[in-house]
Amino acid sequence: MPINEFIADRERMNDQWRGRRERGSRSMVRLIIWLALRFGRAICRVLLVPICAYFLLTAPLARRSSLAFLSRALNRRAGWRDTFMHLFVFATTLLDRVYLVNGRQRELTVEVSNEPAFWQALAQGRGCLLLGSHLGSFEMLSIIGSVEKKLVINVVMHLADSKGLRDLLPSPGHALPYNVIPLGHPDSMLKAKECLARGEVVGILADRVFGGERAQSLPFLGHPARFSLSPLRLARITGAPVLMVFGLFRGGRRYDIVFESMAELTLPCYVEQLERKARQFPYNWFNFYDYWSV
Amino acid sequence: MNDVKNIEQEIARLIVDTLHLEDVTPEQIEAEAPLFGDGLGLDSLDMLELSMEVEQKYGVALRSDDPEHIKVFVSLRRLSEYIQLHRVR
Repeated sequence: MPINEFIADRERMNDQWRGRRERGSRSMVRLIIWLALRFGRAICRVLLVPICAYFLLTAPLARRSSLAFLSRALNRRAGWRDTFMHLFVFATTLLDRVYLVNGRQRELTVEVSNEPAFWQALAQGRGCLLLGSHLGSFEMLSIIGSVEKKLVINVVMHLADSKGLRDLLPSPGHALPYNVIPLGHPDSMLKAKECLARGEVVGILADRVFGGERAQSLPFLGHPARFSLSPLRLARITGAPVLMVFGLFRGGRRYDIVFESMAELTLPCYVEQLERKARQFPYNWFNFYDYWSV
Repeated sequence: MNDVKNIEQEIARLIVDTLHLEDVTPEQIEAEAPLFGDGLGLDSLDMLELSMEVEQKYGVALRSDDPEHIKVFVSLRRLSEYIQLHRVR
C-alpha cells in the first residue's frame, strides 16, 4: 500500500530505506495521522506545506528519487518545485487515507470512470482481479466497495504494510474497509483464489517486486525496471477477469477512480498502460525509492 | 510401506510435471524437506497450482480455512499421506 512508502518493509525495500531516514519518515506519517484526526482537512492541508518543505530538505532519498522519476515522466529536467509538488500530493493522499479508513469519505469528491467495466467483470461470477499500483491511492477502492454495495474487497499485501495501515485506525473498534490477504505464506494465493471463486474482488499492487518473486525486466519510461510476474500468473491460473485500477488525486478534494481494461493479459501490456498513466499523472507516483535500481 | 513410497513418487512426479520444474527430477525431491520457500523453493502460486491439480486428480480439496491444510503443505511426505488418506479417486 502506498501508505507505507515511509514505513519500511525490510524485505522489499532496498538498503536505501534503512537507518536514520526511515525513522524520520515514519515520524512524518505519525504526525500527519495525528493532525488529521484532530483538525479538519483544510487546516491540515495548510500544515502540510511546511511539513513537505521540511521533508524536502531532510529526506535526500525521496528528493533524489522524485527528481529522477519526474525528469523521465515529464520529459524535462525536474526541479525542486516539481519535487515539492510531488511530496505535497503524496502527503495529501496520506492525509485523505486517514479520513477514508475512518469512515469520513464525505471529505472527498470521487468520480469513477469506466465503472460499468468493473460490474460487468464481476457479473461473470468469477470474481475480479484488480491490478493496482503505487500510482495514486489504492485505498480509494474502498469507496467502490462501500457497505451499501455489499462488495467484498480483499487486498494482497505484505504483513508490514497491513500493520502500517492499521496504525491509521484510531482504536481497535475500527476496521479496514477490506480484508488483507498476507503475502509470504504457502497458502497466500490459495486464499486469493478462494476469494475470487466466491465472486469477490482481489486487489494486488503489481508495480513492485516482493522478495524472491519471479520477475521480468521491461522498459519503463525509457529505462529497464523489474516487474513481478506473479499477478498475471494468478490471473491465468484462476481465469478471473482482470482490470487495472488507479485512484488518482486530481487536486482540491477530488479523486478519480479509473478502471482500465488490458489490451492483452501480458506484463509488457501492464507496464505500458502503467507508463501511460504515469506520464499523465506524474505527481501521483508514490514509489519514493530508486525504482530502476531494484 | 510400499504403498507410501509409491504414492510419494507419484506425487513427486505430479509436482515436477505440474510446475514444469526443470532442474529437479522427482527422485531428487526429499520426502521430509519443505516444499515452500527454503527446500524445494516453491512459492505460493506454485502451491495454488499444486492444490488445484491435487483436487482434480485425487478429488482431495485443500482449503485455506481448514487448519489441517497448512501442515499438509509442509513436505512431500505429509502431502502424500494426506492424499492417500482422503483420496476419492
